[in-house]
Amino acid sequence: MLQEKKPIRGIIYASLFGALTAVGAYIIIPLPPVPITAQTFFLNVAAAVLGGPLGAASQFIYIMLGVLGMPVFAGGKSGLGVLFGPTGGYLIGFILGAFVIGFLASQKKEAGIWWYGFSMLAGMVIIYLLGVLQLSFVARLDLIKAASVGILPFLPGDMVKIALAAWVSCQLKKRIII
Amino acid sequence: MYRAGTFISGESFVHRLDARLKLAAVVSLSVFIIWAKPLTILFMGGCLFCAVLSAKITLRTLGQAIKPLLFFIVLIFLAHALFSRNDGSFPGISASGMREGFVVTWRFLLLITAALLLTMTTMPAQIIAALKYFLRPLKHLRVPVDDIVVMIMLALRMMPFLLWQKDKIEKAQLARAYDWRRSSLKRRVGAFLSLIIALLLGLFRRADELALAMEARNYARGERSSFVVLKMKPADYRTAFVFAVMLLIFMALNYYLR
Repeated sequence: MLQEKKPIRGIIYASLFGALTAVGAYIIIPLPPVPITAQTFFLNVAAAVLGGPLGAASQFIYIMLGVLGMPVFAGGKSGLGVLFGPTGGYLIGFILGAFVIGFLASQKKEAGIWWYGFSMLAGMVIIYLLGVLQLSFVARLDLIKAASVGILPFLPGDMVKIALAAWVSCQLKKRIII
Repeated sequence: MYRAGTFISGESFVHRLDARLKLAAVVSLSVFIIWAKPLTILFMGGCLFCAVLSAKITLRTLGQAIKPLLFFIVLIFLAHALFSRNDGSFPGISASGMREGFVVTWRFLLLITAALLLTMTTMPAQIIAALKYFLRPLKHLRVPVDDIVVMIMLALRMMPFLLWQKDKIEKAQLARAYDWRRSSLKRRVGAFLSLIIALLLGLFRRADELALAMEARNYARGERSSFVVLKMKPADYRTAFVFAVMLLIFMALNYYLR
């Protein structure tokens, strides 16, 4: 019976953040030019607080919720089809990006708000990169056009979300242990 | 999703089908619905409607399950109807915009209905078992599939709770006449941050309780046996065949239609 005891709290936190990211699709903040959802906010917090592997796991779970048929992808879409559609790259980027954010954030022992902000920026770059690549590939746009459709409208909102998420992660990190 | 849209026990052909078959069908349908042309999905809606009826789901229960998303649906429709600028008039209602809006909304409705048909006729434990079956190949890549399945199950269970929590906060704010539009940006950000911290800490506390409860029941990570054993019956094979043929017909239809 005596097995190697792996802490179970981490996996519960990860599923909590997976569910939060999913629910985040319905928390819409009306901000020009495009309304932003709370999804990447939760992604950033999840990765920064939980670290690389668990952060990536939380995003994988979010995507599986969508694949199972819950309408949790942007615009209330669901199903495996979205992953192969024009916006699927962002979703795959969520997993990779979360891993990178978590990895970078955990490199510093006492990371401050700036370090969190920096790791989140790095993660966002990866998410955008994958998103735009797939967008240009599936929608047959050239890269510059795809970038102007797939990055520019979301940039201001994401900057705000990164700032908020960095602050929130700082506060949370002080209060919880994983 | 929400409270509506969860499993309703019943006795029908669709209820009895193997969960793996239903999951595969929903996934392949949703791939197809997103790629197909407008006319094809119009026909497909009819077929899906028949499937809903054969599962003995009344239109009322279906409507109740879709109702929470109504705001979203209207939003999507308006976004397309008003802002599809192909004749230069921006923003304005154009015939092509209306048509586009209708197609997108219809697609969205079909996606939801297909997913609802799965979740309303299949016990969650069965859906999870089916998912585990399809994720199994990942084990070779040293992905802890069993842990992930448990995590998905937990997340599925948490979602209605989180949505309910969100609803409660919004109603509480409304009851106290809080209107974020009327406060300054600084106060708005402050209010959001204090709310989100309190909310997250509360959720973490609940998660801790759950972890403790699971550990107290001697839960260990790793390989698990399951209460649900999925088995394909002859009827399942026949349905799989019929479904595959219909999907092929629709693909052909999609090819020849404009």
